[in-house]
Amino acid sequence: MGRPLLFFIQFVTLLGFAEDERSLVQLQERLGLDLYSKVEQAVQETSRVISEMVCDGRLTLTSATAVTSSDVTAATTVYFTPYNGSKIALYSGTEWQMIDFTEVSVAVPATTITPFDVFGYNNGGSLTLEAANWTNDTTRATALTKQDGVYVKTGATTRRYLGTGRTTTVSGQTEDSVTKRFIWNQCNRVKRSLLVKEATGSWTYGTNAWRAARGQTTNRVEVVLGLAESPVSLILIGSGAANATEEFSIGIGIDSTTAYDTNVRGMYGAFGSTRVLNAIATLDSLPAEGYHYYQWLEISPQGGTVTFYGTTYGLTGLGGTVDG
Amino acid sequence: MPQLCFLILFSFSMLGFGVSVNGRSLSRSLPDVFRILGPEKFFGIVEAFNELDSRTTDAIQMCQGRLTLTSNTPITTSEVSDATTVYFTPYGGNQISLFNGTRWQVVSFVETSVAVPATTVKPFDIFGYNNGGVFALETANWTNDTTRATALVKQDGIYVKSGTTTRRYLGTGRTESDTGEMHDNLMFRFLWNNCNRVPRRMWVDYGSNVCHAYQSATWHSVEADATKRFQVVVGLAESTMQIQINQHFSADNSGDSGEVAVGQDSTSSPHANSIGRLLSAASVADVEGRTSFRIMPTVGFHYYQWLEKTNAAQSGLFCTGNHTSCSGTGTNCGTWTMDGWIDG
Repeated sequence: MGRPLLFFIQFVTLLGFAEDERSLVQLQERLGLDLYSKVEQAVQETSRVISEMVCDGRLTLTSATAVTSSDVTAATTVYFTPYNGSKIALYSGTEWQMIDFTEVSVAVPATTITPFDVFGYNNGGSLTLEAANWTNDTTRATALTKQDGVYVKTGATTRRYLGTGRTTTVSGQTEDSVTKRFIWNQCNRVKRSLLVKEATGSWTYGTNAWRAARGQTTNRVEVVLGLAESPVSLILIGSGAANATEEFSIGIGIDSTTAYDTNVRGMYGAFGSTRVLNAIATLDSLPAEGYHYYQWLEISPQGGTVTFYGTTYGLTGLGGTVDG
Repeated sequence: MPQLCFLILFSFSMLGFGVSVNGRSLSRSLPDVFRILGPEKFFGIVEAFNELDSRTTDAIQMCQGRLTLTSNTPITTSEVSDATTVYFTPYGGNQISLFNGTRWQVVSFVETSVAVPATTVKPFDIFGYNNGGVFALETANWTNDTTRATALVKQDGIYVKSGTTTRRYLGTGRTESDTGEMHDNLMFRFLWNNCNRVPRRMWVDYGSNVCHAYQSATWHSVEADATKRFQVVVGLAESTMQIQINQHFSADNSGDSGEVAVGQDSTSSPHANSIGRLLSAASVADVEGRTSFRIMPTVGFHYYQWLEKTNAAQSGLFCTGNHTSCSGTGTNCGTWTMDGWIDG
């Protein structure tokens, strides 16, 4: 809450008027319209600083479930559902107005593998959603801009930015799962788990070149972010065995299946006599807005055949969290 | 009442009335304000401010407090055990929105407390309400570890008590085995906040220099010690939890292997989200491995058990160190830990 309004609340409370229910009409009569309008203008100005921040909702792919705990796949509808309240401030073009809302929805756009922004606007007193597709995975077709510090749609400032989604390879569908976090919230973000595991017992690789683990690009986690404000924190745990002269490493590639990110730490596995050992790599990043994937990578630095393990010994995989 | 005079002058001038009304300044002194406006309009303005301001202020959901087991400490950093009182203490402000049955009102509050219910090993919800102008707390026990006796419902998007919507849901606790007592410490996170959640650290280790053998392919609690677990209660399925286990395994024979994992509400089965279970499958090697685990627990009580197994009846040892290739003493060769955090 802004400092001016805190002072004023304290002020009226001290005077004992905090519970007064006198109607605005009566007050207008007592003060006169001119004085009343000045009061109204002053109060609106001091209240504006907090009212425009209000955004009591979250985008979700499951109706009435603001934070989903199960994977949601092949979703065709995006919901904006109340979360810790049911009000949202929307810009009218001249001022911020706070309105009550119940859950509203919008269809997932009929695109494939394309991000889209979700906006909310006041449609005759009711919150309504609309989507705007991006040009590609990294570029918005319509930029965001700020109205009094709040992100809105450029050229249509009555559209408040609520978050970003991304369609899958199936037209008109999206996903919010541990492997594909394709719905990202601007308001009320929470930590969302990421996880991909290798279900194969073991496999071999003998080339001194980074590649996707087991040669499968599905060994990745994918996210879309509307703003570059959400940290992605990952840990990769793999295991392998090399003979007396071989070694292995694992890594995490950002938007790459052939190179590990330079911020990855750890990675080295084993060098020795047919030992089966773990290798651990960690990565903390603050990605740019748009779509990104984090690829589980592997390499045989000596070029000899290395056996990597999935489920034969324990269970290997890539896990982490993203705020969204 | 100098403070009141100051606030009146400050507010009028701050809100634009210090410039002019009918061409005259209102900000020079309090008597000027009264003289120019007269008592009727002066207090009318105050009422108008209040009414108009409430349209936005009361509409904004506030919950500037946290449940805690230590007075005046919204986020405890020390372990709290056997607590008998739950406090709701200001955090980031001292305002909270409460439903009066008709509309939401923002009220100020000071730290308020309620006794831990006289139950054992049972969750309970904590609600806040307006008790004649004074913020108050009340509790409601659950039926069992996974079922509320009284459900939560949403009033304008805010969780309240079903059937008594003036009771705002603040969080959930759980009593321990001693009646009327509860913990909030590294192994027992038995107090969960609905407002202003923060990551709560968890930690369990042996803290001693020991090795033990377990030669079975059956998962069991590490060193057959069921106390090596985290116990948590969550009021809503919205909190992410992260755990990692660092453990040492010493293989004495070719083919020895050791694994560790996290079991959810189980001492015999690892959860599928545990990755990196392997410690070693080697020939006379001492290695340390790490298991990583993340989950969003369902509503209620859960425990997360530190599990271990070997591949067969081999002679490998789970150690803290000081074995085979480590010449150190005490914990110089490393310590086993299971640590992590949960939002609460």
